[in-house]
Amino acid sequence: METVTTTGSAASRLTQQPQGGTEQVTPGEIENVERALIDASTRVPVLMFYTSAIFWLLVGTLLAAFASFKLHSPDMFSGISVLTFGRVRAAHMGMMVYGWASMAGMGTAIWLMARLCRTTLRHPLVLVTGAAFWNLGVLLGVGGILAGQSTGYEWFEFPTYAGAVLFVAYLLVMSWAVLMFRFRRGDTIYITQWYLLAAFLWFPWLFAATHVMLFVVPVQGVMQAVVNWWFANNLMFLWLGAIGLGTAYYMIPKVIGRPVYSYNLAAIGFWTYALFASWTGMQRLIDGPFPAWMITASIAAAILSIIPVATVGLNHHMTMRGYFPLMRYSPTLRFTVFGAISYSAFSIVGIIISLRSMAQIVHFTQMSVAYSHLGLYAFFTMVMFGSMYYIVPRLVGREWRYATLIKLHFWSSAYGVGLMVLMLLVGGFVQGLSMNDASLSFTESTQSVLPYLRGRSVSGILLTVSHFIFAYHFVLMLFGLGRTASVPTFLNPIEPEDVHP
Amino acid sequence: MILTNLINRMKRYEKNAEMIFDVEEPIGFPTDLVMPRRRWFRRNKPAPGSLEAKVLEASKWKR
Amino acid sequence: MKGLLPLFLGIFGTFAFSWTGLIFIPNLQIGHLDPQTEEDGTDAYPSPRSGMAERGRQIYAANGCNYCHTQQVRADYAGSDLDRKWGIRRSAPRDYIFDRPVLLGKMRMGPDLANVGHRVPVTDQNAPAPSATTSTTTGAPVAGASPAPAPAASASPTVSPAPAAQTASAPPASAQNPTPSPSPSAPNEVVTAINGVPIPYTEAWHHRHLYSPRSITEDSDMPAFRFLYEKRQIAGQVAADALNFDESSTDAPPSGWEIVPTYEAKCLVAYLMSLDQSHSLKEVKTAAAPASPPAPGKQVK
Repeated sequence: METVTTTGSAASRLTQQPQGGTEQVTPGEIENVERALIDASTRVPVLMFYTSAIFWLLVGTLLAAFASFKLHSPDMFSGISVLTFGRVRAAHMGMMVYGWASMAGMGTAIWLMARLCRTTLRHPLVLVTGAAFWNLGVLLGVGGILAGQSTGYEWFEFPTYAGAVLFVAYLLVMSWAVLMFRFRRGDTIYITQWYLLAAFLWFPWLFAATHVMLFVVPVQGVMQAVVNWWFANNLMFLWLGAIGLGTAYYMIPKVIGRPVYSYNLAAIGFWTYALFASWTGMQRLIDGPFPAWMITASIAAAILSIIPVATVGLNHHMTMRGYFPLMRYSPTLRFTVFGAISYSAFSIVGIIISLRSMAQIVHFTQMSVAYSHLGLYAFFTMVMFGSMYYIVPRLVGREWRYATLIKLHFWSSAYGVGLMVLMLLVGGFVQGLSMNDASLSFTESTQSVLPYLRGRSVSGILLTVSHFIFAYHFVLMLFGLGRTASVPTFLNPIEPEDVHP
Repeated sequence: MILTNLINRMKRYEKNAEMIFDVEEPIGFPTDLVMPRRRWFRRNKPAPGSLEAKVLEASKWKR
Repeated sequence: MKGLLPLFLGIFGTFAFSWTGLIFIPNLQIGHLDPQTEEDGTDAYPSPRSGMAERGRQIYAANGCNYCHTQQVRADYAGSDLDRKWGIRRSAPRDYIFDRPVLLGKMRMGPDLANVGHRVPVTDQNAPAPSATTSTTTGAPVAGASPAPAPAASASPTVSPAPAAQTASAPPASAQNPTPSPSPSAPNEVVTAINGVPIPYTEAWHHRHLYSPRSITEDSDMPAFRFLYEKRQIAGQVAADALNFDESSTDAPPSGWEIVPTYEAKCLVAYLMSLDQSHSLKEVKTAAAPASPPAPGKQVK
């Protein structure tokens, strides 16, 4: 920063604007105050969701790092049942999917819903209760897994009682988010609202249907695996993915001040996404004991999902065209754009590993872990970080304190997840090649992937560092230690000491 | 006729994209440009008249 | 309100479409299978597992074994599952009709377990060096499996009988010693072959492997499940199910102590022993004759 001029508050700035009357309240001012009021009404629940999410993120990261080390040093703590790899891994997944991703997603979704419906949030205590119950559900679920009560279904390991608590909590949150629609102002429903509404309606159906089919009226034999992967896949796409895409559709245009390149394209992208993404999932069961047509249908859907991926990617790219240098100035933009690009990478990797010729090699290898992390971290988590950088200052009325911490967070996250995905993609391929060569002993395939797993552990350290940096920064904001802002939006100037001479 | 209708509808539909902007935060008004310029590389300011410079100028954050 | 109704319908419609296509119709197709029987109703397959094995399944799931082990054998056109002798035919939906939860798995950091209750230990060329067979327990027990261990195995009769009995190594068929049966002093011996004919994994093998995977396969990546075992002082006589170790092994308990499996470990092993898809199914082509010994070892590069 070479030149910094300290401008005044919003009010003084408003008077400088040509359309602003000197004495009367301008329409712009009304909107500004109104937006601040709406933001303020969401403060308690959204901050509660965020705080919980970041807590689970930290614990989940530590567990992930532990599990990652355990994979190449299997003798650590082998006498302690709670710390055995299988339990720690499941607990990590549960915390990340339900504790971190879902809570961060719900926090962002609530804020976006209130803003886009242009209505203040009524009775925020209901949402706070929902968040509290959700935390209880995650706690029970993770405790159950560590105590040895995992159900054995991937992404659904939480014992049934924890699932029930989660569901009740969810109904509280969802009903409130959907109710906001009743009080919304204006006729238009923005594309972000489509995604959020869809996510909020898909999740309970998905969760309840899976619960019923696995525990209440259990389906027979391999159908459980079908239900399981249908659930896991749709949880990724229809719940987390929809929230992530919706958030990106708001944040990118809003930060750069330019409408989405093509709204029609966005609509096409939404509907093709809903149609095709919900049909993928069975390719994760490729070559297993299932009717071939199901697998083929899912592979076809995965290939067809290139349509929504291309439309979304094209749309974001054209919106951003010429504005990419702005990523330097906005934490939100850099995280969100990183996430949006990762979404394309995630989908393309998903297509490649589901092709039969490729799946032959990489099925049952670390490649599937790479794929999950591309979706859950490189895409979704990065978008959530971006939205938090945008939303939290507007809730606490303070600015982020240290630009350096934001940069450190971004780069260690970006390099961390990049390294992890690269290691696991290459490692998975190597592992698959040696596994398929029957002249090599089986242990050779696991030995061949070990160097890559060690590399992955290095990336785990990077991610752990980045998450603790972010959590520290977030806590500063919570305690009102951010930079002062006179109005609840980013209107105050940079404080001089942060400015590079 | 049907085609022009369709095109008109699509054009009207495009207007929906603008609903996230309003008088106080209009189109062309970036928000959240809160970080100082990158320090290590590119110390020079963006060229005057470039898109980057224009957007930064429009931002409430004076640099 | 305009546009909201189509939005709702679309959201529900796509979801219902996905559920119908991926869940409802497949459930009609493979969701209600019966065990296969001969025409006279005999020879039913599969059959429900014992209570202990079912409990073992819960332990298997609770400890996340399914994150590293699959329980499905792919067909010959996909992967080398059949070449690796993980099964004699591909798995079919009917194999799993009594499984709950079904633990197909999606990752192979460990070998497939679909037939682990039936199949014989596969030679591990990465097992401890051949010389180790004379003194330590080894994971290279199958006779004539690979050129590398073979000389050592044929050399094993020269070792004094007592240590030889302690090893997991079995003499090849050509060996002079025809009685490798467990010696009385080691009731829980890890034996993998009798007269050079490999026998399936034994309970003792599983217990030993769960307690200390790397004492059997040096390169194993499996965590030890020591919390499933109990270390206690020997009261009078060594328990019949106590784990057997070499004296040189670092895993061996101090003298006067023994390591016995808990009930959970026994259940888990009972479950592992029950994993067997060797019974032929009418809908699946069986590649090789059942119970054939594994093909002699392939060349090690």
